[in-house]
Amino acid sequence: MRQFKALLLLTIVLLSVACSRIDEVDINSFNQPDGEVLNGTVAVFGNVTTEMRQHRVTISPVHQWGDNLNDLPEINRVFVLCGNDTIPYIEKEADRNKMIFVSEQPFKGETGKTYKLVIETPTGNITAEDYLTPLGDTDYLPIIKDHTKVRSYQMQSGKMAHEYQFDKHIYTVGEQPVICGLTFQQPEDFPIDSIESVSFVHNDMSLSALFTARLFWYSYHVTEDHLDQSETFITCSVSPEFYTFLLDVFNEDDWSLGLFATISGNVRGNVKNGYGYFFVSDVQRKPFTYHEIYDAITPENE
Amino acid sequence: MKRILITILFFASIIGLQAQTYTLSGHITDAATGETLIGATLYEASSQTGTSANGYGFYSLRLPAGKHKLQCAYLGYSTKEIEIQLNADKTVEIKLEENAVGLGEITVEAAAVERPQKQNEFHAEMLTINSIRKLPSVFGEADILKAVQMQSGVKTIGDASSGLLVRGGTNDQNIILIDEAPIYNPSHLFGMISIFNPEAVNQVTLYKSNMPAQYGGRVSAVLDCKMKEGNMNHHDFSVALSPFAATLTANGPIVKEKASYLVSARRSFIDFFVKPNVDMPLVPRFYDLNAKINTKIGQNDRIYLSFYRGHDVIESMGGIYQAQGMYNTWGNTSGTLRWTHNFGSRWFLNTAFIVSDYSNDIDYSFKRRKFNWRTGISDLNLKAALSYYIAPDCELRIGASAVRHAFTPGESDSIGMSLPHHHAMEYSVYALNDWKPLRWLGFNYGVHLSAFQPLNSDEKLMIYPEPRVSMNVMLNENTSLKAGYARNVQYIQVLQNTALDYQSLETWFPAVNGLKPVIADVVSGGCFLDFGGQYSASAELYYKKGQNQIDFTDHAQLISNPNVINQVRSGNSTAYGVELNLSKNVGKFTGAMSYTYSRVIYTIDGINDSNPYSALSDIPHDFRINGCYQFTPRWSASAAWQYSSGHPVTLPVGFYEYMGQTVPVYTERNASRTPAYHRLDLSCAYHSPKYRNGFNWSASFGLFNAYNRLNPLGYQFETDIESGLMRAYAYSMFGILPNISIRLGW
Repeated sequence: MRQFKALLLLTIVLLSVACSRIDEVDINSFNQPDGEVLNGTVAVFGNVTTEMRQHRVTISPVHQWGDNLNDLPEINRVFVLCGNDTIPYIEKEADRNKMIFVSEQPFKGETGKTYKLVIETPTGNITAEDYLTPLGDTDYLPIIKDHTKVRSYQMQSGKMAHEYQFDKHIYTVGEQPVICGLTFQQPEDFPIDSIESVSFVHNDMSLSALFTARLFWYSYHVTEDHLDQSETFITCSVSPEFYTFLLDVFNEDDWSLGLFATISGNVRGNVKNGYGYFFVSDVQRKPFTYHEIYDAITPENE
Repeated sequence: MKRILITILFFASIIGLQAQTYTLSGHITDAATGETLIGATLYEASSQTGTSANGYGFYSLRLPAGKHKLQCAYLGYSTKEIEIQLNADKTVEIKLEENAVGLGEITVEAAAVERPQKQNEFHAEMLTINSIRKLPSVFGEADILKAVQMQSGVKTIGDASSGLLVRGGTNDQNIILIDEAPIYNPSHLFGMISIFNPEAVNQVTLYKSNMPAQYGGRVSAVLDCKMKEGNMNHHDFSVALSPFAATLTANGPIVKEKASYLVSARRSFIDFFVKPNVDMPLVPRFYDLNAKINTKIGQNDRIYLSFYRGHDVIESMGGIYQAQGMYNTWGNTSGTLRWTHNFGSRWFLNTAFIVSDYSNDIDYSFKRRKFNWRTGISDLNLKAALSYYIAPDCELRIGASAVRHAFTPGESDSIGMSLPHHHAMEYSVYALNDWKPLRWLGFNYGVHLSAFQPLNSDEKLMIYPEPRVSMNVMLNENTSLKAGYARNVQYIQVLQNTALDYQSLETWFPAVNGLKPVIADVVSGGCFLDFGGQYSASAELYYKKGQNQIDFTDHAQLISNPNVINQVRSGNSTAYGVELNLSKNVGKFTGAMSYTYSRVIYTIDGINDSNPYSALSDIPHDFRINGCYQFTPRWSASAAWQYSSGHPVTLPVGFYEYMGQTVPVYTERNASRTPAYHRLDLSCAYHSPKYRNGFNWSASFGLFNAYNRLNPLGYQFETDIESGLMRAYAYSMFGILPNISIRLGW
C-alpha cells in the first residue's frame, strides 16, 4: 500500500509537471494568409474639441507580424478641413515610434460641423472625418441617477470607502449612455487633464444596442479628511461609432483565451488607408467634491 | 388517395404472406450477469433472415413454421446455436456466455455470424465497453468520449476535450443521452475526462448525421449511451484506481433473476493531495454517481430506474472570499423512469419519464470586487415508443415525446442582473419503417415531426417535418452500398465565448427573440466491404447544408449581457467530406485506420464582411490509426496515433498603439490555422484470471503523448511597441503523461 501511495504521488507530480505548458512558438509556424494583409502602415490618433487649444494628431506605425519594425512613412502635409476652412498642422516632434503634429494656431471646434483630417503621403492620402456632436443635458454626477443600486459602502475606523461594483460600469446620464472610469494610460496629447474621471457620452444610440457587458467600474476611496477635496468631471461627446470603437479597444486588450475573452475581431476605426480614430468632441468640465458623492449615495435616513 | 390504398394493400399483402409464419421473441442477455446484449444478432442461415436485439435486449423474428437452426452471436461472446421447432409464437430467452479472452476461432466465428446482419445496419457506430477498454486512454481510465473521438468523421480540438465535432457540426449540435436522458455538458476536469463512468456503461451507439427518425432535437449527431443494468445472478464489486480518480462499483440481484441494482461512484482525489498554490493556481475536483434499478414484472414487463449525478468544482488559490480567486461549479443531474412492455411477441412498448438538469455557477473575485454568474437548463420529458415487428424484415416504430425546457440564460446576485428566464415545450412524433423487402435490399425511412412552442413570449408555434431515409444494397456477401438523406432541426443552442470544452460560461438559449432553429439537410452514401468478418473497410461521402447556423459578432460579449442575442448572427453552413476506414476486427492483432478529408464553411451576414469563412471545425485532413496486440490471454498492448490539420483561428497579423492600448490587427475571421495536431498514445494491460473466489484484477500502464508533442490549446501574444516585436506563446495542456490504473473486482 505504501508503494502504491508512492507511485500515486509520483504520478501526480508527473501530471502536474506535464500539465499546462507555456512555450514560445515560432510565429512563422502558423499558416497565415498570403499577400497584403494590412490596410495601411500607420495608426492615427487625433481629435478636435470645443476647447481652445493647439490640437494634435499622432501618427504611429503599425507593426506587421514577423517584422522587426515598420518605418513611418514620409509625410508631406497634415491638415484638417472644416467646411471651406483648411487648418494646417505642423510637425512638433518625431522619432522612430511616432510623429506628432499640432495645429499651427490654437482653435476650437464648433458643434454641428464635420472635421476631416488629411495626411498627405507620397503614396496617397490618409483621411478620417467625424461630426462634432453637441453634448446633451448631462448630469455631471452620474451616480446620482444610479444611487438606488449602490450596494455597499462601509465605515471603518474613521475611513470611508464607497465602492461601485460591476453594475456601475454604464450609467444613464441624461438618457445618454456613458463610459466612465477609463483605465487608459493617459496619453500626453490627450486634450484633457485627468483621464480617470472622463466620460464619453453620445446622444444617438440606445443603451441596449450598445451594451457589450464590458466590466468597467471605478471607485472612490477617500478618507473623511478628504471629503472636501474636489475633482473635475470631464465629459466628452462622441459619435456612436467612436463609442463602439472605444469599447472594442477595451475588449481587444486581452487576446488570450480567458474566461471572459471576447470573439477576436478588428477594431474598426474611421481612418481610410490606416488604423485608429480621429474624433471630435464637445467637452464640458464640472468640478465636484467628494462630499457631493457621499451625500448622493447616502440614504436620507442615515 | 390511390397511393395510400396501394400502400395499405402492400403492407396487408406482406402480413398476409406471413400467414404461415410464427414469431420467435425474447431477450438476449449475458449468461453470467443477465446484462442485456444490445445489438446481439440472431441469424437463420438457411433462409438468410436475421434480426438484432434492440436497445433493451429484445428481439423478435418471424420465421416459417417448422424446424430451424439459429445462431446467436455477439462479439466477445461464444456463438450459440439454437434448434427450435416453431409451430406457434414462441418466447425464447437467449443467454450467451462471455468468451474469457475474446480471442481465437470463437471470436472469428462470432464476427462471421454477425456479419450478414451488421451489413444491413444503417449509419451507426456501436462501441462496447470492452472494445473501448482496448484503446489507450489519457489517465489510464477507459473513456467513452475519447473512444468516440477516434471514429472517423468525429473531430475535436486540443488534448483535453470532451467535445465532438461531427461532420461539420458544433459541440452543442450533438445530443448525448445517458439512458435516454440528455446530458448538456459531458466533461469533467476541463474536458480531460468525460462524465461517462466506464464501470457503469454497457454500450454506446453513435449516429453521425443520418440519425433514425426516433431521434431529434439536434442537427449533427446522436450519442446514445446505455448504462449497465446490474448483475441479475450474483453480487459483483469492483474498485478502480487511476491517477485522478477512484471508482467504487457494486451491482447484483435484489431478487435473483428478477431485479437487480447497480451503484457506481467516482471521485477525483487530486484535491486531497494538492491545494491551490502558486505553481498550481487552479485545482479541480469532480464526482459522479450512477445508479440503476432494473426489475422484471412478469414475462412481459420491465421497469428501470436510472440516475446520474455529476459535479465539478474548480477552485483557485485564494478562493472567492479572498482578494482574488475563482470558484466554478457545474454539473448534470438526470433520471429516467422507464417501463417496457411486450404485447405478445410482436409489439414492444417503451415509455419513459425523464428529468435532466444542468447548471453552471461561477464566482469570481478581483481586488475585493465579486462577480458571479449562473446559467442552466432543465428538462422534463415524457416519451413513448412502440415497435411492431410486422414481418421478419419489417419493423414499424412509432413514438411521441413532449419536453418542457426551462432555461436560465444567466443571472447574477453580485450585479443584480437576471436575463429573462425562458420556458418552452418541444413536441415530437415520429414513424419509421425498417424494411428489407429483398435479401439484398433494405430501407429505413420515416419522418420525425417536431414542434417548438416558447411559453413566455409571443413566438408562434414552430413546426418542422424532418424526413429521414436510408437504404442499403448488398451487392454480394462482402459488399454493400449505403445511402441516406436526413433533415434535422434544432431548437436550442449554446452561446459560448470560447472554443474550449471547458464550457464554464455557456448559455443554452431557445429559438426566441430572433434566434431561429438550425436546420440541416445531409446526404451521405458509401461503400462497405467485409472480408470474412476479419477485416472490414468503408468509404463514405457526405454533404451537409445548414440554415440558421449561428456565430458571434466581432468582440461579442456573452457574459452578463442582457442583450446577448444582439451578439449573434445566423447564416448558412456547408460541410462535406469523405471518410475512409480499414479495420481488423478479430485475431491477436485488432485495429483500425481511418482518413477523413472534410471542409466546413460558414457564410453569415455581419461576420467576416458577409464573406464565406472556415468554421472552427474546418479541419481538412485527419488520419488515425490504432491497434491492440494480445500477446497472451493476460497481456495486451495498444497504441494510437492521430494526425490532423490545424484548426482555424483568428490570429493577429499586426498591431498598433492607440491611447496607450495595444490594438491587434486581424485579417479575416478564422483566416489562420494552427500548426498540425499529432499525438501518440501507448498502453499495456494485464488481466488476471478469475480466481475461485471470484476475485480478479487488472492493471494498465500508459503513456499519453508519448513523444511529448506540444499541441497548443490557445495562444497569447506579447508586443513591444518600442521594438515593434510580437512574440507568440502557446498554451498546451499536456506533454508526455504517464498513467497507471488498477482495477480490482470480486
